[in-house]
Amino acid sequence: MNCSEVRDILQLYQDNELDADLTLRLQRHLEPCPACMNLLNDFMQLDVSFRESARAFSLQTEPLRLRIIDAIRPQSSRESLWRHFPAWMQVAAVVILALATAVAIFQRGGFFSDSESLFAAIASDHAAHCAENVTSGTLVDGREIQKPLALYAKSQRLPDLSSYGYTRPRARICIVKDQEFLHVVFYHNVTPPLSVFMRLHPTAAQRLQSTMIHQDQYTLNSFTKAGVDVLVVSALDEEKTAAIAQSISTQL
Amino acid sequence: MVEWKRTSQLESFEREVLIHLNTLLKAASRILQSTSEGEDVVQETFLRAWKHFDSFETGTRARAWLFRIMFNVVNARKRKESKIPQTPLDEDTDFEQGQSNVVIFDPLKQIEGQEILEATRQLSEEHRAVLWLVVVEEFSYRETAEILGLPIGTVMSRLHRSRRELRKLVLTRGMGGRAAEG
Repeated sequence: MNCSEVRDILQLYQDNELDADLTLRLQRHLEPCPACMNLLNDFMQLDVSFRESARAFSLQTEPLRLRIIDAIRPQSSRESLWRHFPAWMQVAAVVILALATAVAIFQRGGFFSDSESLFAAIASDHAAHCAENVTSGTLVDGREIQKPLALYAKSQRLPDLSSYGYTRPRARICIVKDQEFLHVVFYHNVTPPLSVFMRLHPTAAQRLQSTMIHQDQYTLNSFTKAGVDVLVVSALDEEKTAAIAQSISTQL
Repeated sequence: MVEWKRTSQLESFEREVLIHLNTLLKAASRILQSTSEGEDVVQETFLRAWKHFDSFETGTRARAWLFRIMFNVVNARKRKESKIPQTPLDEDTDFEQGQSNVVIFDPLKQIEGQEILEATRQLSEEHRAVLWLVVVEEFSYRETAEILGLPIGTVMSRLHRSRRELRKLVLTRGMGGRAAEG
C-alpha cells in the first residue's frame, strides 16, 4: 500500500469504518511512514479539538423547553376541567395558588433552582466520592440503606445496574448546593464509577428538568419520576447513560 | 383516565426525548449559524416528535430519530424559503497535491478548539452538518446518511473535504502558511 492509497482511506480508518484486512494493511504502512502518521495525527487532533469545543459550549435551554411543553400540553382538557367549577371557586383557587407561589419564591429565593451550577456541583461531588476508600458515612448494608431509600427515593431497594456491569453500590447522604441527596456510587471492573443522586423535589415547581449534558469529563442525565428527582453521572457516552437512566426510571 | 394517560405520556416524552434538547439545540445553532433559527427548528422538531411519539419504541435510539426529524424540518424550511446557494468547496484548492505538499505536523502546536469552531463558519451548511454528525455526535457514516437522506458516498466525500479544508484553514491561520516539505 503506498502513501496515495493510504490517504484515500485514512478518513475511514479514523472513523473505524475500514474492514479488518484494510485496517491491518494501513497500520503496517503507518508504522514506518512518518508523513502519513503525522497526517493522521493532524486529522485526529482536529477532530478531538472540534468535538471537545463543540460539547463545551452551552446554551440556555429552559425557555425553549417550557415553550415546547406548553405547546404539547393539551389546552382543551385544561379549559373543559375549569368550566366545571363556579366562578367564586376559580377565583379562590387562583388566589391560593398565587400565595403558595409567593411563599415558595420567598423561601427559595427564586422560582427555579439554578440547574447549571447544581449540575457542576453534582459532578464535583461524584468525582470526590468515587474512590472506594472513601468510607466515612458510607452505607453498604442492605438494611442500613432502606430507610434513606424510602426517604429520598420512595423506594425499597437500590436500582439494579448489574446488567450494565455496575455493582457494589455504596450510598451516602450528600449536601450539594444546600440540597440533600441520596448519593449512590456503583462500581465497574473496567469503566470508571457511576453515580446516581436521588431526592424528593421540595415542590412541583422545583423539580429538575429532564436533560442530558456534558459536565467536565462526565455525562449527566437528569429526570423526574413520580416526585423523585434523579441525576445519573457517568463517564459513558449519551446513549449508554440514557439507557442506564431509563433502567433506573423503570425500577423506581 | 385519559388525562392521566396523557400526563404519563408527557412524563415519558420528557424523560426519553426532551432530554436531548440541549444536544439538538447546540447542533442546530452551529450548523445553521444562528441561535434563533436553531431554536425555531428545534421547537418544530420536538413538536413533530411529540406528534409521532405513539409510534416511537422505547429503548430505540431517540437521538438519531430526533436528528432525522430535525433535518427534515431544515429541508422543509429551505424548500419554502429562497436561499443564496452556498459556494461549494473548490476541487482545485486541494491542499495536498502529491508528495511536494506534505506538511510535517508540529507537536508543539496547540490547535485551539475555538479556532476550529470559528473555521467551520467558512464551510457550507451541508458540510458543517456532516462534520457535526460524524465528529461531534459520533454517528456512523450509515447513520449520518440516513439522518441527512444522502447516499453514503456523498457523506464520505463531504466529510473528507470538510476535514481537509478545516486543516488548511487552521494550519494556515496559525502557522502563517507553513513551508511545504517534501
